[in-house]
Amino acid sequence: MGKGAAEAILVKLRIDDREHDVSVSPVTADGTRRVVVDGRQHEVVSCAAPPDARGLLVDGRRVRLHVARSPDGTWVSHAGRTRLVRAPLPDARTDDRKLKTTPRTRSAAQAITPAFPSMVVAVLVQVGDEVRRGQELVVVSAMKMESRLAAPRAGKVKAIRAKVGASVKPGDELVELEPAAEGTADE
Amino acid sequence: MFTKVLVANRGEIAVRVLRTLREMGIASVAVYSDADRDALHVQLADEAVPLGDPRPSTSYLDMDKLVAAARSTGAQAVHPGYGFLSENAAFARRVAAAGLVFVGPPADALARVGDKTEARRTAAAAGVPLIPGMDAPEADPDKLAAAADRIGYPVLVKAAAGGGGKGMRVAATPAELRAAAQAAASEAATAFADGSVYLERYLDRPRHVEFQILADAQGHVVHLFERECSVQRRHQKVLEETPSPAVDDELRERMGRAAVAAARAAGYVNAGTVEFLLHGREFHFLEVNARIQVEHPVTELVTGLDLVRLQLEIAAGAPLPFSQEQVTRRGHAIEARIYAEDPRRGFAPSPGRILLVRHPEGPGVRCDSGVYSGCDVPVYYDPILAKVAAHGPTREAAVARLARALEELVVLGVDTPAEFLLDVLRSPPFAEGRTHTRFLEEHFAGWMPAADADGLALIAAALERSSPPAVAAAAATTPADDPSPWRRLGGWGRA
Repeated sequence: MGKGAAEAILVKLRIDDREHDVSVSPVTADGTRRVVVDGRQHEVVSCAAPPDARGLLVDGRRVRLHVARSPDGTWVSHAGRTRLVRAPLPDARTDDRKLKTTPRTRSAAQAITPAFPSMVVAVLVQVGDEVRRGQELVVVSAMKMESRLAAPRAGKVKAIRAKVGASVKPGDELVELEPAAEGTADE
Repeated sequence: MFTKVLVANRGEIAVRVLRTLREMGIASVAVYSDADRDALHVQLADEAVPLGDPRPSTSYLDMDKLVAAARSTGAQAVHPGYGFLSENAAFARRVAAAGLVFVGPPADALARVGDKTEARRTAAAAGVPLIPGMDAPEADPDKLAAAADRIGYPVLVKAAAGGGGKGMRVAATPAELRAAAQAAASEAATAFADGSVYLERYLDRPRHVEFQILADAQGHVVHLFERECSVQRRHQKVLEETPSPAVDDELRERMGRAAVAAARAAGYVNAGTVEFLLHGREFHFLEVNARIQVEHPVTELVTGLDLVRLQLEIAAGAPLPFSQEQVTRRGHAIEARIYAEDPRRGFAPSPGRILLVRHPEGPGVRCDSGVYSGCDVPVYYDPILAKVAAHGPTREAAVARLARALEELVVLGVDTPAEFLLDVLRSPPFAEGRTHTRFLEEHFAGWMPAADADGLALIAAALERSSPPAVAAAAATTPADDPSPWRRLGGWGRA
């Protein structure tokens, strides 16, 4: 990019959990580019570029796509099949740092957080309650489908950050648990 | 005829009702919660009244606010759509008490059919065959267990006030029954403000076949043929078609007569649906849906009728404009529901912002949508975005047409099951009409999108990333078809 680079641009892209190597060559005099996807070569010509639709000639075949960019990546749709093309996953360490956590860091698997954007329907415990592993703590609802979030291990409710009616999303820690004290009874 | 009607709903159904009101020259009033301030149905109405806090209980389920909105705008009637308060007898009574017309059945008929166990009693009295089950809802777990022993496992736990699959669970053992009853009651209380449950025998792989009925206030009742809605996930319909591949003229006549008898016995008025489970050539009454349904477009496509118009006319006191003999159907119609859901993750909801939507067009295609490019899909409500329906001379032609329409549909920004539906439509068992209520479990459990469709997406995305910044910025601005002028204005300085 920038001042007419003469070399192909190499990117690593991800769809779901599959990573791909893609290179895009500069446009040649006759309007074609070479795009290599995981070692497979394609001749691509851009035909039309309105704000959201793209007309391409890929290996001689006419293709109409729709494209939209978002903070998560590039959405692409063709003939009813839609893909979100993203940058490769950062390493696990970086991912943990991105989660909203309290000073005592917990891994994603241990956090009491909804799986998708939801609304809090009920809080089943109070600060100070002793809970056992698997005990249900919060009920959330997304589009009228209820999920019950349970304690990943025994402990005591230290803080509750969920109010009935509040909108919550993955990464929000709804209930903070203190681990069970040494020598407490089995759950 | 009314001169002003309030639509007590949102999303695609509110848009659909507003369209008929516009065609009839009736002024329209929309209502909207804070989450729907920029919604399409609000844009298309003549007036709009805010409801405030987006939680259903304080907005679309808030009877005080809805009645107040109707009165303050001078609306004469309230169309409740589907879901929300559409089958709530208390709401129908409140509307009537406020001197307004409820576009639907009278409150007592609603109460009769809305309570699922009472509906069964009414159907049985009309000679309609039932599935073995309980006659009254029950909360006592011991009584439920005793009923299950009598009915025979496996049993289905259902919400007495429920519909749309909410609050339904299967239990194969007494232990499962305990847990299922509790969870079903909780879900129902949240969705319908009524947590009572009842049990039915669970039938294996039946077809879900329902009859559209229409009744006026003068006692005339007709049916407008059947719809088969067997392709479901979590008891929510995904594909609906008419006619049913399993219903011939003889069966249609028998089932249609039973549907009309059930509706008449309930004193039903206006549009409704009588649902059956079809097992071979035996059918069992399931329930009455006392509202216009999501899948009504397929009936409109084969009959050429406008059900919302008929609802309004009946509500205004007109008799049915045709007899049963005069109702005709032509060809085959099939509809796909487009929800903001991810079929790869068990159809988990996928709220967020729709970056781009393009609706399919062309011969024999009908698209009922409640969304536009740039609008938000809120977390609070049912995630239906649009319905895409196709009509053709034969089932094969209609299916091919729906597939073509789903290829034209573009939704970027939230996940939808469009690709999944394409694979279902093109599958041999579907093409052969071998549908039943466990069709998706049997043939499409663990479905994943085809990996070979990734290549084009990668090419397109890579080209995007190598575009000069000016082009990329233009792609990220508000699309030109966003109906909100406040979002289209601006960007004057961009390349």
